[in-house]
Amino acid sequence: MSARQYVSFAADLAAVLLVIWQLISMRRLPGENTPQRAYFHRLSVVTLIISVLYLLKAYADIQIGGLVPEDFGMLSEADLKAWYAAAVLAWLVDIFLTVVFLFMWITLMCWTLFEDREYLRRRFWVGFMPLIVSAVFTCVCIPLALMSEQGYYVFLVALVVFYIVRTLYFLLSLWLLREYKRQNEYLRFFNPWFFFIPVFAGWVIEDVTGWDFSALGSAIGVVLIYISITRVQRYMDMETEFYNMDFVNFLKGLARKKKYDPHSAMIFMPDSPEERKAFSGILRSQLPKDCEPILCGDGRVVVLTNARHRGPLAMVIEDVQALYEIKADSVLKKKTETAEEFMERVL
Amino acid sequence: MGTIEISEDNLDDFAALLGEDLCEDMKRIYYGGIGAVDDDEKAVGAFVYELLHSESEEDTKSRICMVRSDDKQTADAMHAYYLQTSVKEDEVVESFYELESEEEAKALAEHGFTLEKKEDDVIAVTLGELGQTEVGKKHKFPDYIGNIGDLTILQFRDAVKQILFKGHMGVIEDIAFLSKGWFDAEISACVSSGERVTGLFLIRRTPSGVLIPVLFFAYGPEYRKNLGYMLSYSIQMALRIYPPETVVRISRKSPATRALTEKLIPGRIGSEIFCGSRKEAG
Repeated sequence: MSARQYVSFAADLAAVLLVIWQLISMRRLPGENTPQRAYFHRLSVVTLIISVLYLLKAYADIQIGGLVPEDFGMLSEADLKAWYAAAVLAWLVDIFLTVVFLFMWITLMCWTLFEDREYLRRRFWVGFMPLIVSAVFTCVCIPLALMSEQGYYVFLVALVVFYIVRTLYFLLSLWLLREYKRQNEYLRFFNPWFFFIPVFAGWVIEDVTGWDFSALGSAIGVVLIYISITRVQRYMDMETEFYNMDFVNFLKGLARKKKYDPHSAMIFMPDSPEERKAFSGILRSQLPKDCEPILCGDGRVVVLTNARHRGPLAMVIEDVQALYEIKADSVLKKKTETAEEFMERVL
Repeated sequence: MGTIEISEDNLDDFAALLGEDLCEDMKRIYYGGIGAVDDDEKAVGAFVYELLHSESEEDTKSRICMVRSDDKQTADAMHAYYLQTSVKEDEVVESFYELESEEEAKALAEHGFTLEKKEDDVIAVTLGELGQTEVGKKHKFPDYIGNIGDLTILQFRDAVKQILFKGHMGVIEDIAFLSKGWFDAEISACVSSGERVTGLFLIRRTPSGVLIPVLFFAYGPEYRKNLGYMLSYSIQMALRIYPPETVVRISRKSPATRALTEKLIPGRIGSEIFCGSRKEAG
């Protein structure tokens, strides 16, 4: 057994265990089953299947003892047919799962950043066609690789093209991030770089060295994204799903680093904890994206926003009060106030 | 002769002085007016202003939209009333004007305003000219581009809210207080992406028939493409409904709009207007 086989097997085993841990941990997580959670779950399952497939391949590689084309003459016909079938199946599943993995990731990015499933539906066939065509062509070339040396080279070219297309699709998700950042200041609790770097590094190491690191890279990427997303749980009041005062300290830290600058706040004043719980769903349904409702120690619910004018605040208060009778007010930041001073005043 | 506040109750009495467009604007939340009436209660003067930034973190300013009077005594009385009421009550820090009429500008200059000439930020183009542009000639739109008439009130309101909370107000400050009906529902475009509206191009048609783009914004992964689609859609719809001579007044205060109009109608400049300002005693 060579070092490559040892390391590849260990890496694939680690990948499987990591994703299993993440899936079990996710099951125990409280909270609603949001679309983001569902998309992330699917991505995790695909990553687990990929990791298991790679683990089986690594195990088979160890068992066969690193079969190379010169050794084929030593195999019986039945063994050869079985080897061919297993190799073809492994490649087909690998390519299929890579396409699904990329699709799941881009879906998750699209939903988390833009909450726009329609964009994906509109762009699916046109957008994913190059990837699907490249994948299908590569799959068709797999049997050729096993038939002759020329066929093998045709397959290699198809595979390289597929890897290039795969990388371009990965970069597409970077483009989505760039488009998001053009129009939005903040992206909290979702850092796509935690996914990009390990996944891409895994692919590159595997393509360059032949060592099985792609599954481990994908697993690390998925787990890091999971940790990034679930950090928010630390800052939430589980009963109302409003943010707690720890979140305020987190925001003040960002404000000190000039990474956060709210310009206004809406203040809702429920009379009792029961009223607070009853109105939380209504408030969250009426709040635009990026408005974070914070439950203060005195029972008030304060929503910090980027709005620089009282008009939009009045709209939200009016819509909330149309659905639920509650006292509310709005506050604008003064020109001379810093973000921290404003938060001190309001919270 | 006496001075009174112009309100919705007595707006009709001043309609001839204000004109139909300003009459409609007087019903908006940040517009105010002072009228002068003679002994027979007939309107002889009007002073109209719009408050800016009164409900934002910036200092409140007042933009004077019109000064009409038969004589200097009327103008002085209305100006004094303006100082005692709006400037004091609304804590106006600066009053300014941008007017086409030299007479009105001079009337203000007599009350301490500066007087200069400059190019208007607003340009007037015709619908026909917009129809001749590259974007105006496009006839194909995806099916998720439509007009705001297809939206429910809740959908429209939610769309406006989302855009306002992203920090974009368009060219007017009171967009949050305006109903869907204030805009031209057939030519104002929207981007409907599933359950959400991710772009709006709101156009107001004034009583005198002038089209005024008020808000032009989209967000999401294809926002730039969608902005182009909305622009094409609105121009096409407007050309179907209104004659090509219809005037479109585009405010170029924002650098993005200025760049867009320069691209659409290169070399078009605003007319010469009179402008000036005065710091108010705080």
